[in-house]
Amino acid sequence: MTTQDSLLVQRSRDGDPRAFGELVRRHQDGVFRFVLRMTGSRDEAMDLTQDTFIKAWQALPRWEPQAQFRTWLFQIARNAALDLLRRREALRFVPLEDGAGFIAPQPGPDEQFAQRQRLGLLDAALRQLPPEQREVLLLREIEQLSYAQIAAVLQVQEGTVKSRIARARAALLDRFERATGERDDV
Amino acid sequence: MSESCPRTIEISAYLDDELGVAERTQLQAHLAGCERCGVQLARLGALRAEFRALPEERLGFDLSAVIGHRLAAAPKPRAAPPRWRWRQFMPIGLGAGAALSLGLVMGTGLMAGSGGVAAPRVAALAVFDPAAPGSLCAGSGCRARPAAVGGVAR
Repeated sequence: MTTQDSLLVQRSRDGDPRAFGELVRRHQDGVFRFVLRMTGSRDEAMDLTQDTFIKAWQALPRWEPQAQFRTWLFQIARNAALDLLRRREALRFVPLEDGAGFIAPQPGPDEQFAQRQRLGLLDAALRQLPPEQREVLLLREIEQLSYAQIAAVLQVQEGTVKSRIARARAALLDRFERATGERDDV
Repeated sequence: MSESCPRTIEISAYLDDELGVAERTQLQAHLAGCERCGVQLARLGALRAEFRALPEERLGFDLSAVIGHRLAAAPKPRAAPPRWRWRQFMPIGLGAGAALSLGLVMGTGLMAGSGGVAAPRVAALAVFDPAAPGSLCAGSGCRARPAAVGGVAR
């Protein structure tokens, strides 16, 4: 955990709301983009992000000093996202049309359009992965957490993280390359 | 047990710089001579580049300003109640055990001089005799007056 984070957490635990506010500013975007790509809904991601910090504030007395604040925060966010997905009963597949992480390509130079379309296909392929594969990829590729940090978030062994990331990448590659035509279905 | 080629798990961890030194050296040597694994490394590397190109999502506003009133309205964080651990009861338990053991020993000692057969249960109850265990009146030379005995069998 960064020194600044640890100081802010300590002051927050002592009841300083301004210190907690600073923690919120430092971590809000990371939490938001993670739950956004987990749930595919911008409105719900905003609610979940707020809920995550409220829960973190309430749970501060139970936070263990040896735990990293960021990984602890992602644990809370991840649980909230999975709860939402369970409630939706849409754990496996989210149709492309329901996605909110996908930015509709705007008319413009051909190259820009092609790139945006390609990124949209990646986003869609990512959302089609099972949650347990999607979350490890998001934590690794987007949030750039180490295997040890991801293991702490998911409460699994590092070996499990290692194999799960590899399988998730293989699955995503398969979907993405088929969607872009870089791989035949045969 | 090593994977068959392409060694996706190893290559994936290699890409993340999560292999140990020996593993990394071994895989690098393998990659130099394995086309399948080389292609897999290139594919995973390209996928990483695609991720880097994804737009960075942001909230777009200061959440701490929004969350402030919700924090004020939320139940105040309470410290978790202290968890009693069994070790905290050890001194009490040891003390109770020691007292009981001492009573049993002393009671047994009192009964040993009585010449009579005393049921273990009665011997244990000797600690409750009017004459306290260890007192000057304890032992075969001391007979409690009938009025003081109160029906305690010996």
